[in-house]
Amino acid sequence: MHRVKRLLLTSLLLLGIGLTLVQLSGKTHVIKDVVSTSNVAPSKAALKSNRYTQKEDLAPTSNPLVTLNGYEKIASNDVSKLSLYVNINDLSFRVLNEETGYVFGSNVELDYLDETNLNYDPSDQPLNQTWRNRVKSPVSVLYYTGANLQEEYLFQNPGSSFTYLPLNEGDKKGFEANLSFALSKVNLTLRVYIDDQGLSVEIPNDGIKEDPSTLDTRRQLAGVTPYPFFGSTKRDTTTGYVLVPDGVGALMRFEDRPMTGTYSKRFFGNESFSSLSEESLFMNVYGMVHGVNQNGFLAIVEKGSAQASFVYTPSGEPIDLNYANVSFEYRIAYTQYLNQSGTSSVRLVQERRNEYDIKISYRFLSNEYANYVGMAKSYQEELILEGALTPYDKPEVSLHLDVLMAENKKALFGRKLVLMTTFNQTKQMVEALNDEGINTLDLTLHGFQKGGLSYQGPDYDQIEKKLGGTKVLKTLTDFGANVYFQTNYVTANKEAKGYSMKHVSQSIGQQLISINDDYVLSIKDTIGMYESDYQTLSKQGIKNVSFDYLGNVLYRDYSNKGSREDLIDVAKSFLDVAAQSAVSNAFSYLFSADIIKDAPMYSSQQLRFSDTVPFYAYVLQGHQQTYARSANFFSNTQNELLRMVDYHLFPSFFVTNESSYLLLDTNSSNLFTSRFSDWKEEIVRQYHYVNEALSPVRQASILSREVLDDGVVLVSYSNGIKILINYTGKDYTYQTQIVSATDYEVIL
Amino acid sequence: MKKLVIILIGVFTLLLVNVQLSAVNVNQTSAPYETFTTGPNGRRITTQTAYEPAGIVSLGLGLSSPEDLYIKDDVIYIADTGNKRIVKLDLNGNFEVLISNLNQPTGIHVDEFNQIYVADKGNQMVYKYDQTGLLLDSFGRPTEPIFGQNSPYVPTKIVTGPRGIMYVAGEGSTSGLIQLNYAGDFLGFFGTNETTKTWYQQLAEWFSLDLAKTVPTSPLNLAIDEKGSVFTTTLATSSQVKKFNIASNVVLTLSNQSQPVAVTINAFNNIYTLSDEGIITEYDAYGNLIFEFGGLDQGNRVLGLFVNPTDIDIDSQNNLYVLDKATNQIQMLQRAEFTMMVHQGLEDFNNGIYSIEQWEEVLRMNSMFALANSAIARARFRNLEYNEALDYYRIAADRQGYSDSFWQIRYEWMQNYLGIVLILLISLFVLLKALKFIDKKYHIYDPLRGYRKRLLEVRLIRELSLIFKMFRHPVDTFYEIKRNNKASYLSSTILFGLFIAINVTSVYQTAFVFNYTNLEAYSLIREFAILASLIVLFVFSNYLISTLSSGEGFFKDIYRGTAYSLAPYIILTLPVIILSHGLTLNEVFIYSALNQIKFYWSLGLIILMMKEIHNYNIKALLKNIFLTLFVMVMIVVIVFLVYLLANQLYEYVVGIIREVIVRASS
Repeated sequence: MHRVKRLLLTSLLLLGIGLTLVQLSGKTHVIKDVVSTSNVAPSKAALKSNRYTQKEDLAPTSNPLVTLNGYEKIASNDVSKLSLYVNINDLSFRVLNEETGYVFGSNVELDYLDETNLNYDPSDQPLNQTWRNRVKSPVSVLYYTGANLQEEYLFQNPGSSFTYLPLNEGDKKGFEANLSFALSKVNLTLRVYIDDQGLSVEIPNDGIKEDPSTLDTRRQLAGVTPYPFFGSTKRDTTTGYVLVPDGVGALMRFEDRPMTGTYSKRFFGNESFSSLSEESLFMNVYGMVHGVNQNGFLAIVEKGSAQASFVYTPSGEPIDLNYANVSFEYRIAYTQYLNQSGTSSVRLVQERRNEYDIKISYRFLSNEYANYVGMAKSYQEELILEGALTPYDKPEVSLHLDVLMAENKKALFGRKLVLMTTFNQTKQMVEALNDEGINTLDLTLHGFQKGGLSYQGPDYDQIEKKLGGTKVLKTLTDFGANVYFQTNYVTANKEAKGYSMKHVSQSIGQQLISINDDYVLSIKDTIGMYESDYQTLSKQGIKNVSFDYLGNVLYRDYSNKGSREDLIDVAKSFLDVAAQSAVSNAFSYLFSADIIKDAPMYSSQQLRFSDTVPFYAYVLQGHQQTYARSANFFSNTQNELLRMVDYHLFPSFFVTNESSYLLLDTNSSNLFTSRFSDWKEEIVRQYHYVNEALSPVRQASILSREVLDDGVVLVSYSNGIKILINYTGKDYTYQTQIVSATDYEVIL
Repeated sequence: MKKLVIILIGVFTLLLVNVQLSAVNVNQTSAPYETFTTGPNGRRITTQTAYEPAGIVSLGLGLSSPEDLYIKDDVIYIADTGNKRIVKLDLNGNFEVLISNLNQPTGIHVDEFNQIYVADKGNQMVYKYDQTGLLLDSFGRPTEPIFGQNSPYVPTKIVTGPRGIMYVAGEGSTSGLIQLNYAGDFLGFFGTNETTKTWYQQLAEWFSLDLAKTVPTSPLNLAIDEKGSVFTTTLATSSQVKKFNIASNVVLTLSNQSQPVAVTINAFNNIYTLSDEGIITEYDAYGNLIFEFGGLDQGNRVLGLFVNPTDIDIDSQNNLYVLDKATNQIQMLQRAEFTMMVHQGLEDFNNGIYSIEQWEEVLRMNSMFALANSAIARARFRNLEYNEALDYYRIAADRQGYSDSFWQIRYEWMQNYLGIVLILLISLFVLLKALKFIDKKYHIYDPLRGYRKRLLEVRLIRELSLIFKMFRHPVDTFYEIKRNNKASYLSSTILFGLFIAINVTSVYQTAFVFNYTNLEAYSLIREFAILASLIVLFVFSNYLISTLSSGEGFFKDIYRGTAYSLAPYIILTLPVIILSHGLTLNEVFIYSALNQIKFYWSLGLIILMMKEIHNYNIKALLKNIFLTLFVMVMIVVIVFLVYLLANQLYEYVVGIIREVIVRASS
């Protein structure tokens, strides 16, 4: 009996072992390459929504509330073709564009509210004296009394005063004024002048004086807004729009009391983390158009942009004006927590004022340049002058591949490497694409460092050995690929090594800034780490570096006392180390990077916006290699490809040799599709689709972008080539040419 | 001083934000929200945007606090509650006021003959109109006695099913939906929610105390599919969405993290729910989550986000329309290419087509998409490709499917090899018998015996080998441990170590079918700490109690006795692990029986150990067991309390120092 039992048990055991072996020998599945894309054309409502650009109203328009009556001409410039007129009684001014004869005002004349006035409209809201004074004032300041924020504008209190002096320095002609505010006890210098470039408004740092006696009452300067009503219009009497560099770019058209409230956003993202997942203002500019293809200006916040917000208020309660301005910040109020649980806290005001100069320059645009394309061009010229942009000189459109080399995941003890792609496999990918006629390639290798991508910290001086050694790596470039090595000196996992707590950025409340499992590092500290890592890497043949998060995270570190403006300089200096540098999602101060990846393709889509326009892409067009987001993650592929052709963005993919399924338990599980063998055909197809459109115009500049009908866009280039993009689900006939639904056509 | 502030405040206080930075920083969405789907092991993973915001379709309609919409043949019917009217809107933007002068229309439904049903909450009536808006009939409070005199009749939502049956959701209608026939006669209550009782209510019931009567919550919103199954949403913390068959039995329940306010079903029975937090969730007909996305607007009125979403419906192209009561808008969300692919697969599946290519294409777009893996697995299974099916079932974490495929593979294997295995086993058996027979005559096993003897001369090995004796003569073994010192601290600690090691091995090596451990969340250190502290806690508590209650055992005895009591657990786990690789879910009883045997055997031995080591009678033993458990619980509670207090004290002191510094420096 005993033996029978034992026999049964043993046989069962053997059975188990046998079956396990059978099971283990079963191969893992291979998924076939099936490439098919079905087109989903956007709905009618979508084409009319703020995800697309709308048709323009080109009818002539004017701003009857702005005239030269009562203004004295104090300067004119033949290069910029501008004249400056001023009213020395209230420091308001008028700029006459000699080319079109159009006048932009620092505010509007409020006599439209008088019944006798020609512009009187009984449906306009009357304005009280407070608002009238506010519109008249050249500058408004914000100040704290205790921790309460209050506003004062120059003509609010009779105790305020100003002095007026003419200004004449070289080609800079205008005026300088000293303003003295009665309530906030602040004195500041305001400089307004025109020069060869256009109009400039300045508030120099050393002109700001806070009355030390106010310290007793704890009155502290919080912010300043110069000429809050510059370029303002009433309701919809003037057609036109405001351009904001929100994401790829967005327009807010002048409407009659749209009741959408004030739009306000900091340039270059928030100073510290916010959970609002909206697009940032990528550039320190905004624009305004009074009559499309008639008059407009582009405002560049040349100094102080890191501490500034763009504010646009459409007509509505309590004032019928559409007005846009830039508001600068000197101090913030914050909550100082006294314990970990945050149950005890005090409200404090930043002690030392942020010290920086303010300068806004306005470039005036006339006729065919008075639109967002003209603004992009104007800003592009500015960047070229600065030496930030270099012309695109490749023989075709280039393709970008992000390649994940190695990741790691939890093992029984410690972490184990998950090898996704070796150098050799990367080489084979490049060869395979070369065979398909793709010869201009940029590669970014992620996770090349020892131990793979995650949990490594800002430490990149060792290359993971399992990737196959640097000899193979060097041959990659022989196939025409530019190889960038991905680094992250901005955030680091809390469990990672290679940095200490003193490298972590602190908020003003002396908290370590973290985003869940990651700390935000102070780039002032990590630049040193990068420089020493690069020394070691360059000996191993690594010349080009790509930076994660550097492009779109600008968190101020209060422990280092540096301003945000200083951080911009540090961020820029990251680009000076390697032979070539790549940045993803870059803010404008990093436009000098050799390649810009993951360019925004949408705006924040706030309902305040009427249109999405490719401002970001058009600023870089024909210069820096600018890539769209990884096409793996497109859900409407054809639509996004058309967007790339329309916006002049180059294709980019995220690839690995192994199936992304292996990443499930790693920190990169958000990479849910990437296997090169699955994607190869699609990469080739999409590349050629975009290349056929953009290759002929890659070195030309954009003349205009017209919306012919809802979802039908015509982009004209300087070499005479036009590209017609048809987003709609119906064929479109342009002159004699039929452009099929959800497709484009290059028109010679 | 400033340094101190930084050290004190900086190191401990962190900004917590609900955004996870992934190692790979990629932009995956073309919408202001992320889209999630179900990955392997039911994990929530990101995927391509499933539905893109596609604008506002209700521009220029001037809606006011609309509460309900219904889409029939791509015409949107809206209960424009604030304007007391019903509006009809086609997809080209043409609109028409169909019915006006209502009181407070909150529910609308259109039947197959384009007859319009309106639930008017203000008038407490249900109205029926023809397609031009001509009033056909109106239904007030049912007069049937079974409706009850106290049942409220405040219609808020309505759907109609086959033969003109009306299902009316009413405010305060705790008995469920009011079911009326085409003529308005009351047929009965339908889809009643169960009452939920808290544990103290149940306790009160046991003791026949009449605390407070619990009434079921009334359904909030409802929908009906083509076959006449009714879906309801209820204000609850889980199982908020229920599917009822025509007989009012629950056939499917869905739980949502936020409160669903509306539900709708598309042509191939996918279920869509919309929650008060603006989250839209799409399930397949079986209740598997396919997509989850959306969210509330944070004040900037972003296209694609909602303020107070009240209803959702779907058009013939499977685009979604969400009615927002606060913004008086209908937002359209357009189905993306990727979603179309997933839907095609589901539709084919519903029609009995098992298209592997279709789902492989989905997998190419998202290699972790669980539904695709299980669909392919099922298709492979049907095609008798069991090995391939096994792989996909594994990825989809479908244990039943995996087990079924494995059963087939095992069956094939047994057909091929069972004979050979049996022959081998029999020959092995014969060989061993023969060898034993020879041994009796010629003592060929003697060298082995000598080796064994020499091995047993090593003290530790002798001590460890004692565990085998535990199986047959436990009482003797305990006696030998206690009196003859046949076990040592070292051997006992090794056994405890083995106990922990075998537990860890079981987590890593048990076959997939029986292994429910989430390795991602599994922490070796935590497992070790828990088991080790459990052992220490037991031994220590038992020692404390037995010294007080005249137990004979010393600490050493208890320590060693406990270690050797774990013998069955240690010895049996390995075979169970190996066996798990040969079993399917059909034989789950073998697996669980073995697991229970090893557990209860060891437990029994521990109790026996306590009796023998301390030389207790049954009464003393029971007392000892009870007190030991009590002390264990008390120690845990005290340690926890001390930990909490220390934490509070620490925070208090740090808080004071910080406040002094901050106030002094400001």
